[in-house]
Amino acid sequence: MGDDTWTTVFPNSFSQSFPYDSFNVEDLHTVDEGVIRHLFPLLDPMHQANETWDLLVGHFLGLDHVGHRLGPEHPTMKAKQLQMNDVLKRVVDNLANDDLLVVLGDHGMDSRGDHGGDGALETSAGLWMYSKTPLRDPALPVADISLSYATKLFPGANVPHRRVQQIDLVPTISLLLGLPIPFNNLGTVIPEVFSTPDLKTALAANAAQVGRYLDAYRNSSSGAELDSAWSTLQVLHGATLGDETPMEASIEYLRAALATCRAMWAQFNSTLMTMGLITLATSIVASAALFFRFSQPDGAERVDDALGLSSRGMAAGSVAGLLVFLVTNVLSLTQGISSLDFILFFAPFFAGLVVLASTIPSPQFWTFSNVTSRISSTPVILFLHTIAFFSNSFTFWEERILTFFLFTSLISPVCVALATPSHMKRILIAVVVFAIAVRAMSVSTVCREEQQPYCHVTFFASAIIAVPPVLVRILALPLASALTFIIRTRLAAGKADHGAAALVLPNAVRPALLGGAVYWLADYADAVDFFGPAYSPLLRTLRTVVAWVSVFFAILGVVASYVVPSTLKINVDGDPTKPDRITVLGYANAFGAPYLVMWSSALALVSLTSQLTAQLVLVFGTVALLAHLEVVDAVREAQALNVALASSTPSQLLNLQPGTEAIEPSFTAGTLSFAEVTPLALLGLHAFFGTGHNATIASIQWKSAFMLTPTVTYPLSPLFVTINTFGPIFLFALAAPLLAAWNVPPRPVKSAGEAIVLGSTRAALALQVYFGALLLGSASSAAFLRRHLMVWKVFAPRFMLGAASLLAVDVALILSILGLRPTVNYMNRVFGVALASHAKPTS
Amino acid sequence: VRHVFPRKQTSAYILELCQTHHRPFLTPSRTMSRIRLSILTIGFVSFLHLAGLYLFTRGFLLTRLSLADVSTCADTTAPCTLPPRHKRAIVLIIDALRFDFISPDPPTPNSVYHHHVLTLPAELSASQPGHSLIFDAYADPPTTTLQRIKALVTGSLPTFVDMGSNFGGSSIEEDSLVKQLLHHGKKVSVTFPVLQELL
Repeated sequence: MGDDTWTTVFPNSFSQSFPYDSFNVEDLHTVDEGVIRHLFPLLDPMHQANETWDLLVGHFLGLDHVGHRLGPEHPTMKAKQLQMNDVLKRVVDNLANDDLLVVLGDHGMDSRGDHGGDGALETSAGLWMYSKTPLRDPALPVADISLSYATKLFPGANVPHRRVQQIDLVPTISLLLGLPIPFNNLGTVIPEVFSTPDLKTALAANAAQVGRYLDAYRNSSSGAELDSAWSTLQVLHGATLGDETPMEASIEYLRAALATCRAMWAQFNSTLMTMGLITLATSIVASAALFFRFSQPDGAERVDDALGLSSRGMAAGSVAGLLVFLVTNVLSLTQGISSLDFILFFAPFFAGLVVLASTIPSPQFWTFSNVTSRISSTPVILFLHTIAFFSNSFTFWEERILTFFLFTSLISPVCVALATPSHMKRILIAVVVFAIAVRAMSVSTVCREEQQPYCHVTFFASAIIAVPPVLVRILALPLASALTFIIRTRLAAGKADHGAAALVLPNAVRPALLGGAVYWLADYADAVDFFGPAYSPLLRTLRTVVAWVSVFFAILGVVASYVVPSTLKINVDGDPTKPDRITVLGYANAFGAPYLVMWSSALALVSLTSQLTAQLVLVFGTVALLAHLEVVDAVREAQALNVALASSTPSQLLNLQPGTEAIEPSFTAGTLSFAEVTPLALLGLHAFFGTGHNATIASIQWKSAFMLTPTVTYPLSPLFVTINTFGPIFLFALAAPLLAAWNVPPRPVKSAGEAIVLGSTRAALALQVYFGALLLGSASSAAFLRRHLMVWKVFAPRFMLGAASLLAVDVALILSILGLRPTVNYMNRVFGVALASHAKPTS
Repeated sequence: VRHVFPRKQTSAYILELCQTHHRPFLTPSRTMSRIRLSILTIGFVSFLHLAGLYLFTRGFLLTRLSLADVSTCADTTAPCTLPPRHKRAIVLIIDALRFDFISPDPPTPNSVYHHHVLTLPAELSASQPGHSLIFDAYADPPTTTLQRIKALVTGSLPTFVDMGSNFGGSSIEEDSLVKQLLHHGKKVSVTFPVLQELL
């Protein structure tokens, strides 16, 4: 599939090329054999192929694959390096006298074998140059230029070693082969391989080339980027001209040019960034306004009108954007901003303003008590979470802060429990279960580099062995099995374990979850050669089959719970055509239970893509979610009781007595509060970190790309990596409707379904506010701190996580409403029409 | 009719019916229109997210202007190159070959799996110091294969944005070692796995 890096980078450049096999992290043993097979005929002086090249490039991927898959501390790494050592020995034996051999790593690897970032282990690559003729003419003196012989102590080593820039190879090889240095080069020739007179010429040629390049860049459309550094560079360049200039001057100029360009290509367009931040802020204000408006009795109608008007706002904004573009273009006020950019700025901005203006509450709303109650419900956790991204240490310790935030979210329920003796036990038990589950999730971590030495890897057996810990391997199958049991038990508490629950949980969700555990146990067995290498192909086949079967069951679960959107059991006594008694079991949780069943199927799919430790974290995450639903339900009941007691209206009190049902709806869309949604957002992120991820590129678990197929396949492989990475966040966003539907009975018929849909919408909007604010915070910090030492290491990756998780949340929320639809529809039919008609008074 | 409304705990809803007659099921359209409104609302906010994200990303993720100029020795009086010392070059890239894997002085305590295993470079450097040189080469981030290969042939600094093109691939328009060799009538041969390098 796809094409290789070299032919992509240089289409039609090679006199010959030998592409074969495909990129495959799992294929450790054969991946380099093709290179070896084609390499040696080209080197063999007896072979005709020997005459067909002047530059021979071989690219061995196996060592990288071993690193990704097994880490550097693995016997296979040793076997791979021994193989490479043998290859190099054979190459050296076959080398012609005037051949130059360069062996290098394109990058390093971190302690787990991954790479992508700027850690010392990732950026320290090996470079070895060898020739059978001395690399430098031995008759000529060695240059003595102290400045150029930089050294560096490799982490943990005792002897500093000679350090060069990897790109220094480019001018070095060019000049050794008698070629001009490529135009855009910023490297400096490696002095060791040139004799003094040659080195002087080499450095002069090198400095002249970089001078030409910077002149050309200065005169290009992007030349202004060099404004601040230009005068310094000109002075340094001037010092390199003339016949008697010291070599140090050239080296100093070349290194200054490289430093300038490194800084320069951290060059940002602040106008576009500001426009983006304003649009994100608009989206947060708009979603917050919609969140509040939906809580009003006439909310839905007003929002309907507002969204209708917003399309006009969008049209007006598009026109405005086009006009602004034309004006700024004529006056050449801005650079690099297209008409599309302006339209995409003004259209959402105007639409957001329209929504804001038309959702402002009616004058009656602005009473003192209303306003103060809104201010007192300011989301403190969200505010702290958002501004935390301006600190690098808070950003890379985010996983620990999340645990603290989640515990903080329990303060309010505990206060309610203490004030309501009748519900104290129920709330406190749920709170304790929630806290234990959250704490259990936080045990799992992969530790990012910046957390050392204060972090201990628990996601894997150790920091350097990428296999699950022994306890996790033991618990994997029992807990995967227990998960459906836990969910069913919770449903059974409300007698809502019939219908879809009885059908889907044991027959679809359970096999999918077990399959996920089996897959990763087999992956472990393969990685450690548990049954010996002979069984590796068999294990691979087993894994592929298990993965496909699990996917089938998970999808089956989603489809089945869509088709059977009810967990009710309806018993009819007497003649079916003229029943005299109908008993409906699972009535109190008629909406929440079927939705939880559907959610469990999605959980099974995410769990499948997650490694064993991550699967355990998802089990605890599910327990935390169920505990949170119990807390919310119990607190709402307790608060309603307190309100009724305070109002001392006996009829209202009576409504809450057991054995009766409130005539007035107990749940309206306005019941849902932002504080109830906050733990859901936090749980999503908590699960993201607990499932072995970090806001770093290196923490992406590429293993999941090879679940359904042994080699990379599009679009399955990127899809599975995406599900593995953002699945946890997606799942907890997908759970949003449960906050509106859990334990809400479908009566009164007319308003229950509507209240649940609107309540789910408010939960969705609250999550959009939460993740929108996190994105705004992380994007702003990345923008403001863009010159910070840590920007590419800490702030930019967190912005990318913020962006991707917001998109995952948006998709999940739209799907969640679609998933709610069949249940609402079904309950409307059953309770709105069918049973209501039975119950028609006869008087 | 007598409604026995449920306790939440028992969760059973019981209707005792005196008389019944069936009606066709009807779908209350009001609730369905609320679902449409809900999706519209969430979609509206999502659109605002996408627009903001697009604008910010365009400003934040860096791009470097790549110049198409090619070096020649014809149009300069400054020194340009040297007489060739080597007729041919063999460049072997061992992906992710970290410096300590070939270092004669790796970190202590040594790893039995990756220190002093690939020993040929250190052995030859010890026995033929004029012929063999080992360096600790700094690879600019992002330390991903496509970016590194671009850097290794152009001598430049591929920016972070290029990471996205790792999936789609992108050809080098800039001057490079390969281009120079071809301009001078040299032949380049490459052996490699067909790879869709993810990292």
